[in-house]
Amino acid sequence: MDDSVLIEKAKKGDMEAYEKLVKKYMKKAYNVALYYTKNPSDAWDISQEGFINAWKGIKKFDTKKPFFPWLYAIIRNEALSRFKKEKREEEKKNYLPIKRIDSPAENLEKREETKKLQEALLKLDEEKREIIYLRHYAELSYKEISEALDLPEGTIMSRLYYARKALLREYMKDE
Amino acid sequence: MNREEQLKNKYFDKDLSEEERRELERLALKDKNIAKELKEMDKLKEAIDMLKPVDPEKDWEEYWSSLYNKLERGIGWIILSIGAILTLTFFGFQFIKELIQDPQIALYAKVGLIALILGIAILFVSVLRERITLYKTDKYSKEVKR
Repeated sequence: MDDSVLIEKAKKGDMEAYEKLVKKYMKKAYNVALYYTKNPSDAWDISQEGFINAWKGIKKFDTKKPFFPWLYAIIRNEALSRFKKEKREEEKKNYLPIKRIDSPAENLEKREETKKLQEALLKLDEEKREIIYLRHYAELSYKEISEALDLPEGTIMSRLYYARKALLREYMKDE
Repeated sequence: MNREEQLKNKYFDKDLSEEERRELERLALKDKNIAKELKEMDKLKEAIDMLKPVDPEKDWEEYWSSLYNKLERGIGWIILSIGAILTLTFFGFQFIKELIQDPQIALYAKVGLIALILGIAILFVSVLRERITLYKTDKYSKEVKR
């Protein structure tokens, strides 16, 4: 079912419609929250708080607009405000909430490659790292990133190109 | 972004059309640096795909049920608050009425009690007004501006 139909129903207090919306976006919401909180437990809570706040404000939501970028902004603001309160910014800067996909057949060389990539990602500035995470790990489309960051799609493509270029430079540094 | 950069971006996303793929191949044949960069991009993409976000500590099946409980609790608190306000107002009013009409209670005690109740009422209205103002300007009640 289309998001706008679900939102219209949710505006009338239809919890089943909201459940469908939550189930559609919960993984993306969690992954976005994870990037900003760097912690699975906080990401779970913050993404749920995002859905609760979205539910509270849904009556004022413009149905013509896409739902996810609105939710993304709520989650991001919530995570960053908690982040500041906790004053753990420096500590969290040096950590990325990604891990290797478990594979028993994975050889040492591949393990080294992923380690190298994680190190390369940490060397990028925040803007570049964020856009790479949103595209490749939160699995947002160009359109979703563009709406979430409130930037034209062309700017997102360009930013992503330069972010990947910088990442490639860091990744291939020792080769 | 120039054409070459656009093609490289699409190559990374594995989103090239057949025509674009041939165009990029022609560019790579002409320029060895482009060919080298494409190989490096393949390697990088492979490494990116070997990583994934850290899983949540709970099962995804629990997500909606725990969220629903939180939402329900919120609604429960609102209903409880309304009920408590109405009940307290009613019994409070009855109590004050009887107190004022009671000739055995001294006048200063009656004045003191009325002042106490009036103070609580003013504080309540003040907090309520603050909450309403906050709700109107709350970043979550309308679209969040970045």
